[in-house]
Formats: sequence, structure tokens, C-alpha cells
Amino acid sequence: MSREKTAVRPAYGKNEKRERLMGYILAAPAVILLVVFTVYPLIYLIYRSLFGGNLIAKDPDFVGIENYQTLFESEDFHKVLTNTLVYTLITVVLTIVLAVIIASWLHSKRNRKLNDITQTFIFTPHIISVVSVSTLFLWLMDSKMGFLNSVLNALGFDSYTFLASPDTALFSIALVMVWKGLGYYVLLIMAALQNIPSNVYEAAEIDDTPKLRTFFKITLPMISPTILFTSVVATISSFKVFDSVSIMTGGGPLNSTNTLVYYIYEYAYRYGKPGQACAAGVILLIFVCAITFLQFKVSKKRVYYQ
Amino acid sequence: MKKWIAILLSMAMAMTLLAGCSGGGDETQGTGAQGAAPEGAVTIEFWHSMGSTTGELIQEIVDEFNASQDEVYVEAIYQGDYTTAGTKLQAAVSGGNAPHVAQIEITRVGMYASAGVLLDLLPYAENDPEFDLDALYPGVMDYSYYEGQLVSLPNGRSVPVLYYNVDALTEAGYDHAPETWDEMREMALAMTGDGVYGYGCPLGDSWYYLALMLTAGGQVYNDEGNNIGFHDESGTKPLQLWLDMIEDGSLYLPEGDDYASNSALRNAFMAGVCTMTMQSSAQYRSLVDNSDFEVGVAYIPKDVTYAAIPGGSNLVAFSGMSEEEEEAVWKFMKYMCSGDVAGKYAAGTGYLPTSDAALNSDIYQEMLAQYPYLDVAVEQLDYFVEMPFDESYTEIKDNVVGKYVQECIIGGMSPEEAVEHMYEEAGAFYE
Repeated sequence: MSREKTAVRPAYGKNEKRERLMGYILAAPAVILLVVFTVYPLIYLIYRSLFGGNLIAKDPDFVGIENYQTLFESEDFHKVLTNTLVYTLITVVLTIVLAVIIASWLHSKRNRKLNDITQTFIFTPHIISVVSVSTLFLWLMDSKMGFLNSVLNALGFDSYTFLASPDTALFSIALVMVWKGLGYYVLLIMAALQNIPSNVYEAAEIDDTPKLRTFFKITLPMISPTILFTSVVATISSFKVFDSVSIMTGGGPLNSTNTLVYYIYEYAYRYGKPGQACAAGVILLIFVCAITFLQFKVSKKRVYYQ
Repeated sequence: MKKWIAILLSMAMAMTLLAGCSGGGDETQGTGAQGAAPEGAVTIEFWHSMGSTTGELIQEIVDEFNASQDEVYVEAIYQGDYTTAGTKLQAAVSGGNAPHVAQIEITRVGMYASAGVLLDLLPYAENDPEFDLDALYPGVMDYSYYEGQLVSLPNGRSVPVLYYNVDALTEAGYDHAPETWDEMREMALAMTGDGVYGYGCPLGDSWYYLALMLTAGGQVYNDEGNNIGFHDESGTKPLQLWLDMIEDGSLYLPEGDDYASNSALRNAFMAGVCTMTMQSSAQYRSLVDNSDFEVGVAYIPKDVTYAAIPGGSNLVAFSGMSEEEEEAVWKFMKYMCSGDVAGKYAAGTGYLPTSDAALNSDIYQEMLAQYPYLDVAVEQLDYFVEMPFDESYTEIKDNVVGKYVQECIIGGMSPEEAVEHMYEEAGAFYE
């Protein structure tokens, strides 16, 4: 988007006017869809969060900010918020770090056959549905009869509790989701790596720069816009985690994997309190906006745009 | 050339988007509905929550109903388990798109009844000479009346029962099922070892905690109806029992929550990993058919008394239909409650027959000869406890009772403390 302003506003000719109108017409379908499916629901969400009653009651009563008060006073909700933040932190950090490492490795070996195969294997989980992946891992991670533990035992390690213990369940889910999402992010970062002009590397080579230094001083800054993009996308998607929680743990054990979206679902449909669910939805909205804003703000200084 | 590839690729992407959308839609298709509505017939939409073999049975029953007459055509639609179906139903009702008839998990009937969206079936039940309301067992009519209206009819009603691996029990030297908690603990220990657990229970579904609590002499609600009725020994004893069994090494705790933990547990039972378990009586046929050992069924063992907590689903109809549709709905509901149909449904699953006519129907008696434990649950009907309509029930059951059961069993809280917390937090709902 260019912000340049011309000093004298030119008078629009007939042709230009038509063109401008055409622009609006072309944008209209997208804008209308956005209003109907995003803006209106958003406003209704905020409006509904001020009411009590259940989903099927004819006239829910106005309760003001009571739903928000209930949320802030509820220990369970605090736990849910912490879980969501911890989960997001684990997934985003693991995903980005692993994606950069794997992408760099693949990039350095890009002319070998092995590379194609590895790339395919890493990308495959991304196209499987979350439901299948979760069901699969529910069995793999079973602490008593699961495959992962029998491997661990065969290698001489103790069994890991995975989803059975409140201490490890959230991390286990994060691990599955990192495994599932990794391929997509690797692909994005690979694309960024391929766009780095080779003359920069050649210059570094002439100066005899050590490999690690090249990586941190050249590679990372050059792909930083992509890293920013991936971290924003990964953050938002991990804030919205639902399917895997719903299938693998149902928020348990001991509420240790209950995250915001799952909480919203439970209150809206299971416990019949849509007001409280909407209030939690508003909080989710605020969180996602704030974190995205922060990410852009903080990284503005650190991201290098070509 | 390049342009073509781009178009193809974007089309492929659009297809995956569409596929993503339709993923949820596919499962709501009727399970193999046969034929189409005959001309002039009133079409009735019927939502149910029965998957796999039970779903096929429902479809079979509906097909038979459709074939038996040509005035009403019922379209049976599977909407996922109770929780999922409940979600869709709430959305449909609030959006004004309710089906004509739906199968609802009993504790949710109250929510719809109090919102006034259910059809009062009483005028039909009373004026139909072919229908005898009193023939239905009083035990299964507990969720049927709301403020003098007949809002639901019993359908797939169940109780928790104890399933046991007869072969394993015999091998351990016992010739009968445990009748008391002490016996259960002793037998479980005897069968435990070498990767096998003597007893399993899903912590994620506090229905089973409540079932044990009742046999320890507690009540679900206190006499005033404003708090839990097990704020005493009856509440702590089941927790202590489980803690003791964990110490014995005989308790198998499945992973997952709610219905997922139940299906995990059933898989463990069928695989012979745990040899006794509490599950809904409705699982009997499926457990027998999928196990390669003899499956026995017994009452939930008692501490001081036998008791049964009601479960399962009822049929409801939604108000706001035309008179023609109401009559068609009544015909269908009457059919579902008739002795032969209810008997067939009970025989095919393990749900309770809802009347003497169902119990004595040929198909049920025949099945009883093959599956000798089919009617164990029926006898438990005498021990059904009464439960009032309560909108907070699900939230208290999951978020208060379920939470502190887990706090105690895996979180290290003492049973006394856990029950004290349940009492305090449940009380807040009724202030």
C-alpha cells in the first residue's frame, strides 16, 4: 500500500471513474461476505455476552457485565487462560525453531534425492485431518498399552505418562500439534531461504565467515519477515486449538488441557450458558488482537524487509 | 500451460476447502435410508444419537415403520453422540429449525421443557385407545412429566452395570460375580497381574462415581434439593475404594474424558486388559459380540444397598407443528413405545425394555436365551432413584463432582476434602 499523496488532486476522467467503480464492484462480494460472516457475528458476540439464559430460551435476561465477573472470579477460567498461553508458547517456539532448523538442513541438501523424500514425509501430517491425527495419537500415547511407551520401554526408558497425567498432558497435545503443523511451516521457510540472493553468501564466503555466523548474521535476518509471518499464524492457530483437545483429553485430566475455545464450546453447548461462552469469546478476541499487535510492534525493529 | 497449472491448482485448493466444510455434513446423512416418501405421506424428521450397530437397528426399525403404513414417512438422521447431538439440537431449536422428533439424553430434557419448546403428548396419550400410558414401567417415566405435561417418552434407557470377564474370574477361582465392594476389591486383586488389571472405571464420566455413591447409601440431591445428597460417608467411600484399588494395583484408569474414556475402557475390557468394569447396560450386546471370552453382567456391587442411577435417552417432539404433523409424530412415537418395537430395540442393544409387553415380546425372550445376562439390568429398575429436572445437573456433574473426583484420584486430595469442595461449589448453584 503506498501512502504517497500527490500535491494536486487530478480531476478524474470518465474512464477513471468507471475504473474506480469497477474496483468497488469487484471488492463487493468479499466485503459483503466479510460483513455477514465476520463483522455481524462479532458485534452479536459482544451483544450476547451481556445476556444470561440458555441457547433455546426465548427471551434471555440482560445481566450486564455479570458474565465477565463470573469468568474473572472463576479459578477454572484462570487455569484455562494459563493453559492456553502455555500451550501457545510451547507450540509456537517449538514449531518455529524446528521449522527453521529442518528447513535450513533441507535447503543445504536441496539437490539430493533424500531431500524430496524427507520433504514429503514432513509435509504429509499437514494434510491429514486433526481428528484422525488426534485419534491416532490417543492410541499411540496410551500410557499403559500405547506404542510410544512400548518403544520407550524397549529402549530401556521408563514409561512416560503422556495424556494420563495433568503434568504432561498439555505438553503431549502440543507435541502432536507441532508434529502435525511442522511441514507447512518448513515449506514456508524453505521458500524464504530460496529467495535469499546468492551474492550475499558469496560475499560472506570471500570474507571467510564461519558457518554459524553466516546463519545468524545473514540467513536469519534475511528470512525474518517469513519467521514473523509464521509465528503470527502459528500463534493464532494455537490460540484456537479445539479438535485435538476435544478428542484426546476433553480438557482433562484435572482441567490441565482445557483451553479457551474448548471452554467456550463446553459452556455454550454442554452447560447451556451461551452468555458466559460469548464473554469468553470476547476475551479470546482481545487476546488474539493484543498478541498479534504486540508481535508486529516488537518485531518491527528486528525484522528486515528487503 | 503455466496458466492451466495455476487454474488446476487453485481448483484443487478450493476442493480441499469444500471437503473441509462437508466433513461434518457427511455424518449427518441418514444411515442407508431406503426408498422415498410415498405420495401424500407426512414426512417426519427424527434425530438420534446412535452410531454403528445400534444406529443400524434404529434405521431398521424406522424402515419397518415406513413400510407398515403409507401415511407417515420418517427420516432418521444420526447426529453424533449425546453431546454432539445436543449441540446441534440447541442450535436448530434456537434457529427455528428443530426436527419433529428427537432422541435426547434424559438429563437434558428439562432444559427444553422449561424453555417451552416441547410438545405436550398427554392429550394424545390419553385419547388414543391403542396406547396405554400405564403399561410403561414407572421407573423409566422419571423424565417424562414436566409441570403436568407429558414431554417425553422412554426410549433407550439404561443403567450402569458391572461387566466381568467370566473366564478370568473362573481362572482366579471364583464362580460368581462380586456382590459387595469388598468382594469386588478382593476379586479384582486376584485377577490383577502381568499387564492385566482386575477392575476399570472411567474417571472422566462421573455417572459411575454417582452410581457407587448411591450404593453406599447416598442420594444425588439432598432433601431440600439445594445441594448434593452425599456430603457424608457415602460421598467419600467410593473415592476411598478407588484409592485402595490403585494401591492394590488393580484399578485401570482409561485416558480421555467423558464418552472417550468410556470407549477406551470398553476396548481395554474386550482386549482382556481389564477384567471387570462398570459400563452402561446398553453396551452388553456389543461387548459380548466383540469379546472372545464369556462376558458376565451383574448389579453394581453394593456397599450398603443396591441402587441404580438412571441414564440413556428419551424421545421428545417439538411444539409448533401443524396438526397433521403432530398426529404423524404421535403415530411414530406410539410405534417406538409399543411392546414389540421397544422389545426389539432392547434385545438388539441391552437398553431396558420399557414395559412388560416389551419384556415378554418374542424377540426379547429369544435374545434372552442367547444372551443370558440381557435382563440383569431390568431387575435394577426396582432400584431406580428419582432425579428431578435440574438445568445445572450437567455442569455440576462434570465441573464440580467430576473435577473433585479427579482431584482426589490423580491430584492427591483427600476424599473428605474433595467431597467438602463438591458440597461448597454445588451449593453455590442453588443460592
